[in-house]
Amino acid sequence: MERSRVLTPLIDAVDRPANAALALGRRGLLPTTAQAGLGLFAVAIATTATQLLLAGDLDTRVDGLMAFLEVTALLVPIALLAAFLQVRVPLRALLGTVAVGLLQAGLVALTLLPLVAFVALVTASRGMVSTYPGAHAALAGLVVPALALMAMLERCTTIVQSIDGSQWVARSARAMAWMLMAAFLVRACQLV
Amino acid sequence: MTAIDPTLPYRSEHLSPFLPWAAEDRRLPQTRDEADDALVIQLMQSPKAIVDRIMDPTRAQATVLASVGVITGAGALAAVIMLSAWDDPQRSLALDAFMVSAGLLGALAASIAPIWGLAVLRTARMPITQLTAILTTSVAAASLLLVAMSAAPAVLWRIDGVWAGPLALVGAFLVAAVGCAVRFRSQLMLVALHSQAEGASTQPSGADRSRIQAFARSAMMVLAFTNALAGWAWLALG
Repeated sequence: MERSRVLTPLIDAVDRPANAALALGRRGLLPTTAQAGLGLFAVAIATTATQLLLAGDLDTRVDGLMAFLEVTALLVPIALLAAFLQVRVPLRALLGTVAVGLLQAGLVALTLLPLVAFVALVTASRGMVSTYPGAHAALAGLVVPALALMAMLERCTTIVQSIDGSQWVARSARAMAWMLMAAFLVRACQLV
Repeated sequence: MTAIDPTLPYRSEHLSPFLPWAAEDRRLPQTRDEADDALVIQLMQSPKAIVDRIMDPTRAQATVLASVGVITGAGALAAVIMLSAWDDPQRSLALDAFMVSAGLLGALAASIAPIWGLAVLRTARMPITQLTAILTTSVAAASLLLVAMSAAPAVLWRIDGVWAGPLALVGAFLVAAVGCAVRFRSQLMLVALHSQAEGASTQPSGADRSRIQAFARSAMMVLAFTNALAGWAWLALG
């Protein structure tokens, strides 16, 4: 089956992530940015839709999307730091890794939507009223970005580990992922 | 760029076990030959490529000039990122950016001659042009590292401007300083390796190594002193 030029990189990013990251590193900054933007767009859509479905409005919420964007922006200096520490992944491929990770995050966020719609349907039909409306709204804005961030960090650590298999890279990538997750939670608590 | 050792574990693609794959789908393309020739990327990632540039007389001068440009740009960018959180209408961000990059360059310029004197003291004289090139590229790498680290103070200053922000600001400079020292030492080692006679051992001898290390330490003390002076001037004038 002949696959189109647009779809092949996207399918590769899902099925052969490390190859896709290396290929993005070779192909340059524009395809990398395009893929990252696509992923971010999907995360943004899923977050907003979840907010609307679960909380009913966009006014009272934790700005989970903002926290997600800030933590994602932190990945660029971390990639530079990793290059300085001579992780054996080309710098452009590290940026490609972030892009592939973002695409996965967008995919995971979109797959959550049917579940969110089901939860919204059930709670609405039962006429449930939240005991803590504030916490309810907060969770509605936070759950999709948090899971998307987890997906992205997991994907990035896997790709880096499969390109540079040394032990210290595996450990520090995992430590970095936990740190970024903690940073996300701290930032989200501030953005209430 | 350092070659990827194919004997390392896990250096293969994670593939879905439920789809048909050929054996070569699991293999990753070799990144060995993908040496990136952009100076900024080499500064960050590959001291060996930088030493190759320095030891090549046709490219050495261009490398030094470009590194000075990198220091200027990266210093200004780091200052703008770090201080964007201050939000003080009394301060001019442009003046801060100028003071940081001028401070880095001035401190570097002031320390080259004393460091060359230290090299003479250690019986480790090298041509001053080479020393200038090594120092400049090390500081350029450190200033890029400073840009990378400057996100931390920018974020932490907004969270806690009393302790976390200032500590992160100092910490960013300290990380950059350690990076500069590591890079300077490894470049010195590579230059020593480069200058050895044909047929000599592939490593500098133990005594030479410890002398190079002692020289690198004392050189970094001079550089730290001049940079501290530059930071002091920044605080006094800013």
